[in-house]
Formats: sequence, C-alpha cells, structure tokens
Amino acid sequence: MLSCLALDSRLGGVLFIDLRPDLLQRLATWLNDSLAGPDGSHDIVTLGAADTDEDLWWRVSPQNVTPMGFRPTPGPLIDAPGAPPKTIIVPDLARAGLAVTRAATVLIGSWVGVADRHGMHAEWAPGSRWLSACARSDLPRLSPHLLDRFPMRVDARDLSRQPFDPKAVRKCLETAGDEPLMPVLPAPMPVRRWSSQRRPPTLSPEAIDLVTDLIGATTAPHRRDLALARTARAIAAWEVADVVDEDHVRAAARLMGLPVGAADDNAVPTPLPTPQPASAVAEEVVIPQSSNATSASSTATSATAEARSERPEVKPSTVPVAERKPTGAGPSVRLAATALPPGRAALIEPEKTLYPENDDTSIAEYASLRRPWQRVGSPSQRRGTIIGAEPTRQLADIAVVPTMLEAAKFQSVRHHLTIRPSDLRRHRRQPLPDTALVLMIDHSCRRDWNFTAALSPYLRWAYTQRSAVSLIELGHRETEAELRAIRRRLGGTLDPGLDTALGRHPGRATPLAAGLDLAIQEMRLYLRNLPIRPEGSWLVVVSDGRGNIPLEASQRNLRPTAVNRAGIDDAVTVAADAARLPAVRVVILAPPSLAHYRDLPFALADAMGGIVARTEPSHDG
Amino acid sequence: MTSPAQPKVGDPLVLPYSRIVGQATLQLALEISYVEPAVGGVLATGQRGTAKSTTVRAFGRMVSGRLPVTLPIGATEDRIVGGWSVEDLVDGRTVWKAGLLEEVGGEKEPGTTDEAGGRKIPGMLYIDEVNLLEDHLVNIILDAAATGILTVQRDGVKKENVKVAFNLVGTMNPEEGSLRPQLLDRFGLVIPVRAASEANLRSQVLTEVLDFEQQVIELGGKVGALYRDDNKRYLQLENARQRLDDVAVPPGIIEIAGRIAELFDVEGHRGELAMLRAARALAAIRNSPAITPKLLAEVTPMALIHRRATSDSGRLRSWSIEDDSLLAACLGDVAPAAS
Repeated sequence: MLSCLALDSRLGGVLFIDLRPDLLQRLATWLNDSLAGPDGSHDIVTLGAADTDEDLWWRVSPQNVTPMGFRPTPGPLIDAPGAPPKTIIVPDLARAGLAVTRAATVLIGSWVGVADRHGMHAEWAPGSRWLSACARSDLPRLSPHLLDRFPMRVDARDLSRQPFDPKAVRKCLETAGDEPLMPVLPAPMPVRRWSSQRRPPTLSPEAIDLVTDLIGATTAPHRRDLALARTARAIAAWEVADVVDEDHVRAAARLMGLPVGAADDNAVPTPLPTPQPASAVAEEVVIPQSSNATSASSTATSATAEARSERPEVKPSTVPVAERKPTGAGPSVRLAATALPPGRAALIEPEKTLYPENDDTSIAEYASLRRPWQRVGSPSQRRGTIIGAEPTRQLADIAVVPTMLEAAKFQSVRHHLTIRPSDLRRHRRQPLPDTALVLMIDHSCRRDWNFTAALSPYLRWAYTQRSAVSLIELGHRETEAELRAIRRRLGGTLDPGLDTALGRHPGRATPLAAGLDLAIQEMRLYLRNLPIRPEGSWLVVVSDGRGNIPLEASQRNLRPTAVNRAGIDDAVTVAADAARLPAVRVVILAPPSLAHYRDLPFALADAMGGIVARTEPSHDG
Repeated sequence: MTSPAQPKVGDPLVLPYSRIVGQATLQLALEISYVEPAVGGVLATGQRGTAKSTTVRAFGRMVSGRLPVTLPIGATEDRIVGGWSVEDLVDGRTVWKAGLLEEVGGEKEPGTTDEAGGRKIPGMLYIDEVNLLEDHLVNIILDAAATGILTVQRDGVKKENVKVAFNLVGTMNPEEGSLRPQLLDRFGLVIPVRAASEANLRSQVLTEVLDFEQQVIELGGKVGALYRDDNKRYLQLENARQRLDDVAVPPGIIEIAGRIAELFDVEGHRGELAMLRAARALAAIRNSPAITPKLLAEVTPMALIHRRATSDSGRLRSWSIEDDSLLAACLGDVAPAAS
C-alpha cells in the first residue's frame, strides 16, 4: 500500500485502523525514504490535537540578513515548488484538532491547494502523502466527509502482533529499547528514479469495469473508484506491466480491504514476506531503462466503450499477488506493500469494518468540521478552540504568529525588530461551555412511555445554557452492540443525533451497569476538562433500573448464560460512583407505572445521591 | 475573441472541463451563470467525492485561463478585504495588497468607463466548502455582494467605495451542516450533485481521469493540447454571451414565470428573475431566438429549489417527481424538467 502511495501522489493518504502508535512513525520514515529527493532531503510532519491554523499554513521565521528580523514563511502544509513531497502523519485522526481535519479535507486528493492568511497567498498542487491512524471504535464517529479523503484503509491489527521471539525479548532487555520487537520493513523503494523513467501503465477496459463492479454501491463516491484504479495501476507499475489487468485490480482491492468476491473470501491473505536486511532487498530494485509500451492511452476510451457492450462476467482470481509474474518488459520490483497485508478481520467483513460510512445506521459526529457553535463565556478565557486573533494589551495567551507579523510589518520603519504593545495579539477563542448535561437513556424501559416530555425541562436548560451535551444510549433495537452502551458527544441540544435517539425502539438487552459506568465517566471528564461552574451539571438517567446484563458481560461483549440479579446489582454498585462526583445533580426519570421492581429507580437514586422524577402516564404511545 | 491562456509547466492542473463526466446539470448552471452573470452565482451541494470542486475549477480555468479566485478554508479577514502586503512591509515598503473580493475583479462592460458609472461584469469567486466558512467572513461577503461596494477600514487605512463585482460559486457537503438563508439567497442557481450511479458512467469517469493523468506525465507538463476542446467550448460560450441581448422574452413567458413562482410558494421576486435570466442564457447557449416554456421548465428546479419554503434547519428540500408534475401541469403540455 505504501509503495503505491509513494508512486502516485493522487492517492493522497492511507488510514491505518488499530495500528500500534509507535509503528506509524516507522511507516512514515519508510515512505519518506522512498520519496526522498536526489540529495536525500525529506520531511516528516506530525500533526495532532494542538495544531492550529497558525501552525499549518503560514509561519514567521527569523531572517539571516541585516537588519535581523522575521519573515513570513510557508507552513508545513504548503508545498514548495520542486521540493520533494512531504509525509504528513496524524497519529490519531479521531483526536486531531479541527484545523488538522479541515486541512486534510481540503488537501488530500485535491488538484489544487490554496492558502490565504495574514496577507500571504499560496497556490500549489498538493503532493504530500498523509498517513493517519485511528482506533476501530472511533471510526464510525468520524465525519464521513473526512473519511472520504482516506479511501485507502488498512486493517493494521495484525501488524501489531509479532510472533513471540524469546531472543528478541532478551535483546530488548539488554538494549533497554524495543527495537528488536518491531516488524522489519523492506528497503525503501526509490520512487523518484523509478517513476521518472517509466510511463504509467494503462488500465484495460476489463480492469476498469472490474473496478466499478468491486466498488459496487451506486452511491459510493468516485474517489473510491479512482483510489482502487490508481492502486491497481501502481501495482502494475511496480510489476513493470504495460497494462493494468483484472488481477492487478483484485490485488489492489485486497490491499484496500474491499471484498473481492465469494471465491476470494476463502483465499489466503497475501503472505507476510520474511523480513530481510535492508541491503539484501535493495539489490532487487532494478530500474528499467525504457519501456516498450505501445498501448496509447488515448485509445483507452474507445476501447472501454467497445468492451463495455460485451462485459464479461466477473470471475475473481485466487492468484495471490506474490505468485504473479511480471507481464511487461524489464525486471520487476517486488512490491514492498506485500509486507503490509490487510488483517484477518478485514477478510471476515472487510468493507463494513473499514468503511463505516457505507452503513446508513452509523452516526458520525454532527458537523464535526465546523467551528463550535457560539457560546457566551468570560472574555478572559484562555481555553477553547482558537478562532482567530485580536489585539491585546496583556501578555496572556499571546498569538505568536499574528504578533510577530504585526511587528514585522514595521521592522524597517523602526530600524530593527521591536515588538511594541500595539503589536500584541492574543488568541480569540471559542468560549468553552461552563455547564454540562450527561443524558443516559435506557430505551428498553420505554415500552409504552414517551419520555420526551419528562426530558424537556433538562433539554431546555441545556439549550439556554449552551451546555456541553453527551448522550449515552443502551437497550434499543437499532444498536449493533446490544450488550454495550454507546456514547456520543453532541453539538448541543439541537444536534440531530438527539432527535434520532428520542425515536428509537426498545430492545431486549439492558446493559444498565455499562451505561451508568459510561455516563459517570463522561461527567467526570467534563468536570476535569471544562470550567464547569458549581451546580452547572446534570446527570439525567432515563431508566426503570432493571438491568439484565452484568457489567462483566458488557465489558467482554459476551451474552451471559444466567443473570439473576447480577445486572441490577452491578448497576447499583456502579451508580454509587456518581455520589462522589462533586456538585453534580442527579435525577432518575422513571416510567410512570411499573408492574414489577417498583423500588429499583429509588435504589439507583439512593446510590447516586439523586432523586427520582416521575411523570403522569401519557397515552400517546 | 481569443482563447484564455494555457497552463504553464509547474502550474497546478485540473481535469479539462470538456472531460468532466456525469455533471451535466452543474456544468449547465455554471455556463448559464457565465453567459448571464446577472443570474447570480452557483451552489453545488452534494455528497462527498462527486467532483464538485473539480468541475468548478475546470470551468474557471476554461473561461479565464487560470484557476478561479478561491476563498479557501481558514482564510483570514485581511485576505478577503485587503491589507498591507506583509512581504513588502518586511522590506520597508508600504504596498496595499488587494483582497480576494477585489482580486476577482470582473470585466468592464464594453464601451463603459468607471468615470461614466460603468458597471462591471461580475467575476467568479469560488468558495470551497462554503458551509464551513466562518460566520464573520460570511457577513463581510454578504455585505459586499449585496451592495457591490467594499469599504475597508483596517491597519490605519481607509478605502471607501471600492467597486466589487463577483458572483459566488460555492461547493458544499450538506453532511457538515447547511447554509444561512441569507447566504443561500446569494446563489442564483443551486444544483444538488450526486455521484454517477450507472456503471458505464462510472467507468467513463475513471477512464477520463486516468487518461488525463497519464497524458500529463507523457507530455512532461506541456499540456496545452489537452485543453483544446475546452477552448472550443469557451468560444461557444462567448458567442452565446454576444447573442444574449438578442434573445426575445415573449410577453406570456413572464406571466408563466410568475405563475410558477406562486405555485412553488417562492418568497419575493428574485426567483422569477433568476428563472427568466437563466432561461434567456440557456436560449443563447442553445441558439434559440426566444425563451420558450420548455427552456423555462429546464431551469426552474435550479432557480427555485433553494427559494421554496423549508424547515428552520435550512436543509434543502429535494426536487421531487411531484414537483415535476406540478411544473408540468403549470406549463400545460410542457415536458417535465427534471427527474
């Protein structure tokens, strides 16, 4: 996969699912070495949660001329003309800052990059490669818009599982490092030399038809078709083939974790080659002198049209990539990407796990690429998303780039660089919410009860306060993990996710203990990370207290054989932690009429240090 | 009439406009907006990965020879309204750098001068991911778009009555939220974009894009020849611009436009105007001597889809088969415009 990415900048980036964090840097180094310029120059840029627009687009750098001063310089996302492409890594895409995710959305796979900030303008053809990692559990939460920029995804769980090697462990103990336990990567592929001497292979009409067949969904974005075709083309290029055929497409689909067909589901994944010392592999890389390719690309369109009318039936090949013979002139390069096969999980239900946005039931964070909605906060607040810069007379929370740029404007007039009070700029920040509502809904208790009316006072409060709102859901029919509770952080009470939650249908499993555990943990996080004011937090639990899934069953995601009172007892035990949360108001909203276990809501409330609120029975279903 | 300049080696490239596949409606809207700028801008809204940005950029390159002036995500205020050139200031020179709103420029109407109060033909300001634009920047753009005048007061400089003439062309993914109604109203035409669903079309998309990439490599960046078909289309559009004033507006057609607007519960009269202007431009493009009910029907969905009553969330109501039937009934025996 990385070899393909190195060869074709239009592939943009790769998203590794469940990759061990320390491996991403190694993979980036490998890719970067492949992309290095003739002088060996290279650049790896790491982006994360703290990066802002000021860090990414334009910066100020000291100039080494007289008089000394500062000069605006392009930031890491702006590609300089003629410079070797950079490798940009985002170690955790789910936790990357807003500026990073927005930048990824507009740059990856784009024909043009444009930056206009602080009096500076740049326009370039983006060539950087993006490598990012994300936990599988976080994947469905990400914006589908952002995920679309990563059509190439790798299930990387198996990369983290190295066979146990006592010798390597001993070596680690001796060297005080863990290098011997790291997977050995092949030698970097010299992309620059390779690509400059070959024309890319042409896709055969059959290969193009297979790409559209494999992508399948009629509503899938074109970016995914193109990524599959480009990956197949890169594989063919590494094999020195003149034409991309159907086997190249199937090999590409396997790399991308796409289902290749029924016959292929039983195929053995591409084997992990025996690691070899870098020097040994490097000798295999031979650059062909020329290509005797004869198929003119301009004929591809008409050829495709002809072939389309008599499209052959798709018959998946079971020939592993490693066994394929080169079909073109010149010696081939063994594809380093075969060192990174999709994991076993990808073979079970690959498309669903790697492409959650295909699933209509997956709910991403709402409008996650937008700046947070307006809240009222203290003007002196020094936390919160940076949304700009403003003049200041104080030294707190100084915005360095705007301040330096302001001073830099006048350095010639002042004869040297001086920062005067009028130059000072501080960050303009989105105020953080100082109130929080954590809402836990146990849908299994709503058989004939519409609890929206009971919730409305709390939702109204959260709306007027512009509170941070989290929703914990359990016990509904639409969930894929019925033994667990699911947490969602909402954009506010107007988030469509809340509306969806209010309309769910009750299920049979009630993992109440897991739900309470998550709700309490969520409230704890809010108290720790937000400037929550006293009496500014509500933990609202909608439940009849009848948990039927013990906590351990939820944690292990195993259906319990016998429950008895374990589900209820676990819930009460877990609930006791809420009583230790400082200044959090707790309310249990219980159904108006309970035939059995009428005391359970009160038991929960007692444990949590809260109250029970009951509404009159409603007859509207 | 000359063709726009060809891209130079090293310039960022985009797929030629003539090789775009499956976006005929968006292409038509852009062409209408170019031939008759008074229609207003174009908004392409649709799911990710449907070549919205590529189509707009390709169109901008075709008609101007360069990529369209783009308001990127994360742009700062000074780049929109203008400010001191930081590079020059660092070297001790004071040079005012026009902002993007001024940079769009627009063309002077033939035979007019600024002194004589001549107006400009609006240029195209492209806003990528327009629904992610910061609110305070939206306000600046709305003010300038509404009045055609830009007033700048910043960094000790006061510039008043700067004439600006631009049409907004935006692309957005509604998954990231909708647009404020005021901004939505600045777009004359709105096109919901979908990915091509037929296998043949998808194959054609692949073929065109991959062929282009291959040819760029083969030609070593000297890609002028790849844009030859674009030049032909550009000349056709220029001819359509020349014909625009000759397109007749039959008296009955204005009444029909009014009836359609009433039928779809459109507020104000911008909807009728946009419909008629778009139909006139379409007539010029199709070389028709007058606006016909059929042409009017063809542009109705793109001119009215965003002007009908909708929910508070601002989410666009899709144009349905029932809407087509309503339109057909209104026009008598005129065929439905959209599916």
